[in-house]
Amino acid sequence: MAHAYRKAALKWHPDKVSAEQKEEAEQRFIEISWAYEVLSDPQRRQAYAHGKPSPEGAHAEPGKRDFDMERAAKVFKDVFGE
Amino acid sequence: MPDGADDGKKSYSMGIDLGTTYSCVGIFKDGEVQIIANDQGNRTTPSYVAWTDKERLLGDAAKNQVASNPTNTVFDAKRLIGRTFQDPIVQADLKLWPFRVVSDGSPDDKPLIEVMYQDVAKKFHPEEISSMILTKMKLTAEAFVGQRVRNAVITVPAYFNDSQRQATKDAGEIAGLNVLRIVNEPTAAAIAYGLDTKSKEKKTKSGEKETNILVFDMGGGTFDVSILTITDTVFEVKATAGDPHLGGEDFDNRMLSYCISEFRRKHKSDPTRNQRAIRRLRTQCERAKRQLSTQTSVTIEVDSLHEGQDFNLRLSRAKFEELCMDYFKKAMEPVSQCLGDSGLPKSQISDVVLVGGSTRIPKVQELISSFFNGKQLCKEINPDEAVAYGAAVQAAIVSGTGTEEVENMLLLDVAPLSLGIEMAGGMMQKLIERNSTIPTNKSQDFTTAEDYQDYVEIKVYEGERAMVKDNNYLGKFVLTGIPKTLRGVPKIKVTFNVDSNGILEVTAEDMKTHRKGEIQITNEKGRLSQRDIERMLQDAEAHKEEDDLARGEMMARESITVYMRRTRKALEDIDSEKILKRDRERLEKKMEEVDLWLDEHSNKATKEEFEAKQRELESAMNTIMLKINRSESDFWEQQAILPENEKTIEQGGYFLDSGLDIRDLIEDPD
Repeated sequence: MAHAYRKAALKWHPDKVSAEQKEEAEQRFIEISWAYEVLSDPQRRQAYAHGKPSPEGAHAEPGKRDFDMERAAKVFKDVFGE
Repeated sequence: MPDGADDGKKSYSMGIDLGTTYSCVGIFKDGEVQIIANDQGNRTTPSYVAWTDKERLLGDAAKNQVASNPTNTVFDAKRLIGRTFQDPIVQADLKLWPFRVVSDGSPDDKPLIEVMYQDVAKKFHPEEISSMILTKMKLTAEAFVGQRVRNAVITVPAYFNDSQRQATKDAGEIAGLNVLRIVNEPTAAAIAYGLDTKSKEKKTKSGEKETNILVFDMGGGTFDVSILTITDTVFEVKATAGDPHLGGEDFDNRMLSYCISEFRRKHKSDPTRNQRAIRRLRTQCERAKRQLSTQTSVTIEVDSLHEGQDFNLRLSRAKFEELCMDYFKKAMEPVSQCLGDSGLPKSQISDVVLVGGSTRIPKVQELISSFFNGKQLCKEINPDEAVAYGAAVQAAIVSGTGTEEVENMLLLDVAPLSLGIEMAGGMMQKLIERNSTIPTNKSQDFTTAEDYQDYVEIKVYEGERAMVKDNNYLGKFVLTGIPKTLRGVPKIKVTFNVDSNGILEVTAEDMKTHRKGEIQITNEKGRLSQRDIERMLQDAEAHKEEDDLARGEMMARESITVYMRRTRKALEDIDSEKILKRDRERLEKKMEEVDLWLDEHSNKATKEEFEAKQRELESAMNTIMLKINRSESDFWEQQAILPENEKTIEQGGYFLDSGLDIRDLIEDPD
């Protein structure tokens, strides 16, 4: 998983893309980082697996563009193939 | 014009380690990082700025004259930057600084450094002092590559907060730099370590190797600990911790207090108010501290320190350690915190990398080593240059001016402190947790608490404590223009965005109208406004012009003085029969007149005025010379024969119209 994360980070980190793609890449990268963070945390990962949001109050959900659990699921699939 | 890239030359980007006590600059050139020596030949430059009666001094020149000019020699700007005047740390440091620091008197309570320059009190923001040091580093880099360099990566302690980062970025802008990125110092050092190790392990490389390292970075004024996971090309910061006010200077201060008390005890007199004495003693303490890293005891000696009394003290390494032990122990706390945050056990840390001058202290090394159960520490990389080295690499990565190997690298850094807002009851609601990978953003919805409320006020804080009053207040955001309706109906989305520099930006949007609300930053603590920055940038440029102007005047003054001296000598040497009495009298009269004029004007005349006077003299002299056989005067044979590629003073060079090099003349004993 760490390997997949690094690969995705190398592809989507805003430093690694052209100036025009920066904004899009930045949001992608933030989503990927968040997905990785959730996956690395057994508690949060389990909560996700059961379709529940993360423990109340502990973590605010990210997302400038309505980044919700549905979106997270998509990122998980795209990046980590789960 | 982007960095002279348009004239076909390669453009360069530099990495600057802007330190509390010393700064260092590196540049990626010809496939490798070059750490650049300054005009004194030193690879690190003191972060000092001084004002004398005549000029502003930077770096070594400023530090070298500190004992004779203590109140106008400014250092430690990094300990002031991004803080308020009332900050307890500033208030404590104030007592140790020989220069004056005052509040700007505004509600923001920004500190200002006050110096006397040409009999006028001048006040500077810490950002301006830092910008002067950055300018010095920029000039050092430019001298090395032989062209303008504008793009820079500047490093800050990983544990610097939002205001300190923003203020450092502002300092870069005031220096006229294009700040590519603010990078954390231990992260930059990790790059230096990573490249160093990689070059050694090239042959054994097989697949992706994962290494966890801990960077222990203790410099002159700040202390950081970062844990990174390094794989082939990715440097991922797992956690960071530190103390933004702990370093070598604190040890110097301890030694200084001890020396003062010893002096008091022996001589029954107190040198505390004698700035010059304190400065001289401090310099010797700093030297002794360095020596104690290799010797077990030293003698601190200062002749005629105070009221004619000499100071002489034998100090053992054990005594030094005793004086500073609480600091050394304090430094171990961030190490365990960082380790805990990273989720890695001690055994998983394969290398502990030492960075910063203070890691040369044997006791510091001993404590870290024993924390890691007697582990061998990594001292492979240069502790003074590693940060600038890594910054130069990051500059090459970000600007795309490196080699393929470098451009494949990626740095994933983190935000050092949690960021959040004040909730009912003064609780801190964290939106961004510390050690979140940056860039990052998180959003939260807000609503109104009262019917027909048309604005909301959001207070932003950083820190780890549960109550906002125990955390650091960053600013207040007021979202206005919310359509008036019943309470609880409006939905306002507030987004925290931390950019790659670790700098926070807050935006808010009314979700019902999809209208971006007006956000007013009413009090971003310690921060300069854009207008302030622009004004300072102009000041800095004006200062440059002022400097250039002063240099031009000085040259012109030298030129005319030398001309006078030479003319007098010529008049003595030339056979008097060959000069018409009338011509001689005219010249002598002119010289007398110029002499008087110089007495009166030499401090205030412009370059043009000096040059005009010199032309008057030359014309009088030429009348004589035209009438004299050239062969008889060696002196005037040199007239107008300029060495190849040289310029006259008017063209910005060193040569008089007569073809004389004024540099030779100035050294001429007659």
